[in-house]
Amino acid sequence: MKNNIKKIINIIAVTLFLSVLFAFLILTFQQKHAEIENSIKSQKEAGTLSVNSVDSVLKEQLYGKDTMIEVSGATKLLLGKRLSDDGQYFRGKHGMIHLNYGWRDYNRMLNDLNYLSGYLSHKNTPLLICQVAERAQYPNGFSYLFSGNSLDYILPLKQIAEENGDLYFDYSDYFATIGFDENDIFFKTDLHYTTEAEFAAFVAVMEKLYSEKGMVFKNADCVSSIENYAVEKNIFLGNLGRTTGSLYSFGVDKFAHFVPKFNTNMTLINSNGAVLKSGTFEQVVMNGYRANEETDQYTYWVTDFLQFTNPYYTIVNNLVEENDILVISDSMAFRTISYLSLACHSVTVLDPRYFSNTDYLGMALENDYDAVICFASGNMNQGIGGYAATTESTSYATDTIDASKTVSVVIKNTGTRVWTEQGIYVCALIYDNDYGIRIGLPEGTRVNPGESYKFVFQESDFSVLFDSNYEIRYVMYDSYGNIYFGN
Amino acid sequence: MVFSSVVFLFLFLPVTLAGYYLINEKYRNVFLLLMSILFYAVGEPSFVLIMLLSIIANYGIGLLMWKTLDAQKAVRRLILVFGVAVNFIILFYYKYYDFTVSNINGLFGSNIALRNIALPIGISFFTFQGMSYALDVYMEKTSVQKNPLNVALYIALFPQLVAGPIVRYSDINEQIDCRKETLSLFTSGIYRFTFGLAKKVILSNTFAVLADTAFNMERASLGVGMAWLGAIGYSLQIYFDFSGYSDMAIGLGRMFGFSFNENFKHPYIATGVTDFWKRWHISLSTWFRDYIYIPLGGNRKGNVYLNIFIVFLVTGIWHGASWNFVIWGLWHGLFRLLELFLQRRNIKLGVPILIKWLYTMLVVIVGWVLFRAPTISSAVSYLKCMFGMGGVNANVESTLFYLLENLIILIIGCTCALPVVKWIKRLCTKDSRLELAKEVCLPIVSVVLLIVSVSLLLVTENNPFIYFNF
Repeated sequence: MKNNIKKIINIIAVTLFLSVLFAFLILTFQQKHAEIENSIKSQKEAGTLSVNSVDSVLKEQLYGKDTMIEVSGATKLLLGKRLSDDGQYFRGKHGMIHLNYGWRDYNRMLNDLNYLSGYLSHKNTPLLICQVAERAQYPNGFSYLFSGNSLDYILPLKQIAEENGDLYFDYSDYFATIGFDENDIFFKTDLHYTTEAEFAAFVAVMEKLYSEKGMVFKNADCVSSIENYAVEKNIFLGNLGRTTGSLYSFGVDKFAHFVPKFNTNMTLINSNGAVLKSGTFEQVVMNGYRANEETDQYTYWVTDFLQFTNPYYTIVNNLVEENDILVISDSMAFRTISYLSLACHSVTVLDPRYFSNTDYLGMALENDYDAVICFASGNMNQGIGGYAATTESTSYATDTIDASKTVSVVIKNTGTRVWTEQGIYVCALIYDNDYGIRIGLPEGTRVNPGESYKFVFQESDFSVLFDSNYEIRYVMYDSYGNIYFGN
Repeated sequence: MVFSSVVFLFLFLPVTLAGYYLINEKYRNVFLLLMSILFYAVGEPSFVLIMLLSIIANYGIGLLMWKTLDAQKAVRRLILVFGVAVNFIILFYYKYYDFTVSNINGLFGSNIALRNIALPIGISFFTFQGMSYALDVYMEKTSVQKNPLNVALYIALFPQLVAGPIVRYSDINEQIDCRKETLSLFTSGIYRFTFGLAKKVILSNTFAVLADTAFNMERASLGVGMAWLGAIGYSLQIYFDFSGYSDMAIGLGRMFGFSFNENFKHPYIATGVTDFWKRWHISLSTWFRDYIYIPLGGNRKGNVYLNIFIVFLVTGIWHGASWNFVIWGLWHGLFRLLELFLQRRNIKLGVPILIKWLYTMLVVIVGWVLFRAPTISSAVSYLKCMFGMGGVNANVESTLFYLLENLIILIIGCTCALPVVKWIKRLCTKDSRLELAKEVCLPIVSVVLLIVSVSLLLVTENNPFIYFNF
């Protein structure tokens, strides 16, 4: 081959290669030098600066990163890769990305729901348990339980509701009856539901509370009709699609905003009772609706609704007088709750993901509600607010005692709920049987999480005698939930 | 710092290239040395002194041997032994101390405290390079290098510092002093580098996911199919990981005017374990051949079987302070000895070449299971699954899923393990139009592979380099 031609080709090759290297170097530092500088400064201050941390910063700030993500998605598509490297995501039919939840222990959530159900039944407050729809069904014959052990909590949830006389609403069943399919319910690129699906769920929840508990929503006709909303749609690349791009999902989603055409007047109040903001639905519930922002497919519209990372807040609808509702939910139902706030006087929102060992549920339950709704998603495996205890000491070294003595037992509150005289007792189980030997807390007593309390039994408490020796084990008992806990 | 990282590709490399070619030619070696030390220091700030100590020690040994050129052989031998010992002590302390102590404790019931010594990256490579310099000077294969910067550059040169290839001083000494950076060499370096990067990021990292899935599975759930899939996946992972890195090292060397020897020659087409070791990690196997096997007598003096046994024992030990590496080395040694036995007895089995290849692949793949598993018992349990003695709860559905999931990459990987480039080159030399087409396509393919590799790097946290651990 002629040397000149080869030389020209070599020059082109070198130019291309060096252009790529230097273009990325120069453009990245030119466009993002402030972000890079700040990140490195913080790492230095935190003592975490290393070549790997600098690499992470550059990866995050690299010029053209979004385009490169599309290239990586296209590459994975060409290679036929459906499962992400870390096993967290799976691309199903038509580019829909599913989340692999893995295996979780739902026992705590189920226990806590059982307690809540029992507690609310004492107060005659209806509890509605909503089973959110799972998006983890994979085609191609792969195990349904690739999503983890969802069935471990779906069935018991229904059981709790049935046994305790609570209301139960299954998203999947409902969507099937109204003819919604997978593409109507889920985004391709985000794990949350479409706004259309959440709005439909809001209407169904209202109808459920009305038809089964007689709760009247005076403006139901207005707020439940889509005609009364301006529907705006924006292109949307959701959280599941951010590392694979739109090509991998065969396109982006459309995120719908339903903006009320009717008058609204809302107030947002935090857990201390302080007013955070007041104004229209768009201003308060939709967080200003990005009125002055430039948006694109990377705009994360989901966070337009309610308060992400806030564990406890209340939305007050100043134009409605009836129905104060407590809602326990993660972001899976945030738009449902948002539209529900249009039909109620107040909606108090608890997000268990951010409880951080504070008894927000206990705080919320100091108030009365017309209904409590729990949108039980798999993300609540850390519990909604539960009881746990550890016996720290007893005044006798052995488990057997002489009935003529008194015994004190110190028990530590290792759960996340505050113990009060309302339904919390320590029981002395004799040979593991509950003969009703129990001590409650004096009125006004609060044993906070992490605190210990000394319970004192008198001789007269042990009126059931077999012989002079007993085998005693101390446990805590929640009479509202009919749950024993601790040891 | 690894070559397949954004910080290397878009910060270190362009800055080093720019500085190297803009600087006055007489300062290029110094600049390259400083950048090489920086390259090591940013990744291993506390261990750069170890590397510098190795450089100083080997330089000093070389000088001593030069000064005693006319002395008795015994004196020179003593200096050599001292030099090798210094290198060996550094390597032993950082790599084998805790392993040795824990085995002594296990054997004798003693309670000597372990030191939990962190392993400096690349220590096996740069100590062997240092030893190679001292040995070559002793054997008068090369003259001593009086310029300490040149010795330093030889040992610390960043393209091959942390994962080879192990470069002999005699192969590179002239290039250090008077190499010529040419356009065609630079271009071939680019191609080599980008192809190596693609092998690492696109192929090796993908196979790593498959291998990790299989090797991390509960053995009761690991059926025959999945076990083989994982073993083949790891075989391809380690090949593309290491050969990809070697390609990048060779490519980078060429960009700075150096020509390193090849380290891999399509080992997965080998038709015998003997043949395999002429194709796999050539720089290491030739190092052991020249500095252990031949001095022991090779196939001319002493017991050739014992000599080969020792070489493979040391090969296993070199890879890591763990019994599974030793067993892996001896596993290969066993078959190498078997082949030698047959060869020496002139026993020709008349086996078709396909069967020879299958036998080789079986030995190699089983060997990789020994190599990959964290413990011997884990390797044994994995091998049991491969041969149908495990996986009672195995799920065929799951195996089919992973096979289909990785089918395209497996086809690409197996194809790339063949000498495809060689075949294409041979084809192109027969037709000038094909040759032109090849030359035109190369830059485009190279840039495309670079972009695709970078795009995958951005979205993955999983970017291991297996041979960094050695």
